[in-house]
Amino acid sequence: MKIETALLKTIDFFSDAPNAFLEKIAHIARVENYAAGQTLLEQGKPQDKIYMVADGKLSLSSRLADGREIALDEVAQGSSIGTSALCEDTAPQFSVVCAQNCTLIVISIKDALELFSKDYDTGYHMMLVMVDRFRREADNRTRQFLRSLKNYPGIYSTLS
Amino acid sequence: MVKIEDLKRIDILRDMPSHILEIIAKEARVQILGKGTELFHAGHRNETFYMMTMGQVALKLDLTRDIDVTFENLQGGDAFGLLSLVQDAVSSYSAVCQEACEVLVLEAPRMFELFEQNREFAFYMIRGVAKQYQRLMHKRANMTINTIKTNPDLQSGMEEVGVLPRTYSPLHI
Repeated sequence: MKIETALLKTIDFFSDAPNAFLEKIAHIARVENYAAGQTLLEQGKPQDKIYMVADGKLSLSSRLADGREIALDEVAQGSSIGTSALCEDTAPQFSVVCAQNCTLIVISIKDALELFSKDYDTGYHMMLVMVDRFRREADNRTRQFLRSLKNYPGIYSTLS
Repeated sequence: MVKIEDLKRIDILRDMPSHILEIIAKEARVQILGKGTELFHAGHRNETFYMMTMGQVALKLDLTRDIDVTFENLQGGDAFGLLSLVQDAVSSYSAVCQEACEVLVLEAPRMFELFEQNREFAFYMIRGVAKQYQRLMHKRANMTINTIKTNPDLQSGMEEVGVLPRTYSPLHI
């Protein structure tokens, strides 16, 4: 059953997206409930779904080369996990577990790629959304680095 | 017309279908640029998409009025000016030729015309841009992680003044 576009709009990733585009996405998205402790993505293992948090909280962690597991972040309502897989088939660099009982909007990557290959207009808009999100994140990190560099000029060597 | 073989050496075009490459081959033109040429400036709108065949281009940002920081040195096979293909977006960096360069260029206004006429072409081009930005995003996240790894004593100080994020996850977008 098609989900409401209003629910998709609550996700940061889609907040500025046009309604006609969201209507198409709504046809391939599902709402699913997950219990606290359930694993959604495993570091280094193939990923077949994108998750968007309608309610609840997810924990991100990463296993380092020396075997240590480090907590990376917690993401809450409005966040998306795994959308990078829509433009490049790469395994996630971190694991994701439900920190609480969660209601998630779930999109199968296969369904999304099928939709884009039949409907290039929707695919084009999705890619524009992704460019915008990736660019903002990359620009934020760059600005953070520049501010760090002003205070700690020695970190310039980490650029190479 | 640019040769398809030359286009296949450009990383962003590598997995594009041949009928899409044929469109690009018809539209692209070769440009030779002298050392020191500034192709676009950070914060300004740039109307040209560049694909490097030879030479070296630095992507820079101003740290202060007198000091700029080079974030990337691009070489043959790299593309830049990616945001020229996104309406109304301004450049994140300034681009300056570090030596004489040969580039293939696509003019953004013509690309937007083609995007309206051919959504398949638009999809593949913007997917290429998204892939590049995805890699850049991961590169920048790793830069932050490397900063902390190589200077662990800086982490708490930088967090306190809000210079580094409290968490430094690889991106979870």
